[in-house]
Amino acid sequence: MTRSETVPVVAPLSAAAIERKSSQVLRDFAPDCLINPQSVPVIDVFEFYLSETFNFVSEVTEMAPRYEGLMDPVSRTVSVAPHVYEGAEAGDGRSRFTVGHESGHVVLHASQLRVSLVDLKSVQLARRADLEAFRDPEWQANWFSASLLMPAGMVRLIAAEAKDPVAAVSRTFQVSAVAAELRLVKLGLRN
Amino acid sequence: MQKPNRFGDRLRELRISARRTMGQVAREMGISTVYYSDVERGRRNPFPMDKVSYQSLAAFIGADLKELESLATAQRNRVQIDLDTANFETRHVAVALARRLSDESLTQEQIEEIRRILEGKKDDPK
Repeated sequence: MTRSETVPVVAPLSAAAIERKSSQVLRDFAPDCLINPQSVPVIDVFEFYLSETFNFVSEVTEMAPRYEGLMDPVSRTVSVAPHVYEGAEAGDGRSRFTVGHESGHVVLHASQLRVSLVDLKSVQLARRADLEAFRDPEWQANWFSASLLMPAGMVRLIAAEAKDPVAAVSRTFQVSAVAAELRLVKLGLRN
Repeated sequence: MQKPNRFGDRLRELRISARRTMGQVAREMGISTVYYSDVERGRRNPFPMDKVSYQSLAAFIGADLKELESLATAQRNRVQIDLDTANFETRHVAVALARRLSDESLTQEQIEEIRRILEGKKDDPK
């Protein structure tokens, strides 16, 4: 989604608050991922955790070409495009990140958007470019996905030992090299 | 109004209990994930029994074969009518007819009379 597109305004969330939310998901659902560095089972989070914890239905459905995923808080449905799902199953880092991103919308935004849409019957919209990052739902979902797939403590363990931390983080957590590098930078482990 | 999707809802419930992903079940059945997901969501009819092995499906998700087949048969026998462009009278008649057929409150004579009208026959000459 580009910065010129319109998004619903959501409650501000700091990076630290989002990290706590993603850690909670892993503690509840895949605690091993907080003990040993490994690939987080993001499809299982998408299909089982969101269903059992948030009463959401996950689906794989055809979408318009530029769309990869969608969260509908009213029908409690979260969808990803077939190529994203299949990519995530095959371990493609970018696809895994997208599944994590859509899961992030459910964890972070579903209940507040549902209240706005159902009870208040309106939602405040803004151009992404006009929003501070911490109020932008796309930024929040991206941070959630990064922290879910690459838990901070586990990334620090890998970065401390690896000769090539970007490659090691990318390989260990099955994320793209771009996502791995950005995560290392955000955690202050790389300039 | 959302149409009932008892087969898809039950399938999803059983699959999640068995901790099988949509992709795993689709592969087991030899179909695409998007087709599987569409059936689970009720966007498409339950899988045709002559093309897909319900036995494999039931075994893979730990389901009762008879239950799955019975739900699928019931749902596949459902008649759907697109009323998007229908006028009020047509909608009213369609809904009333569906309701009366569903609750079996029409007499045999009434069903015969409706059949005669639908088949374009005038009342039998007295």
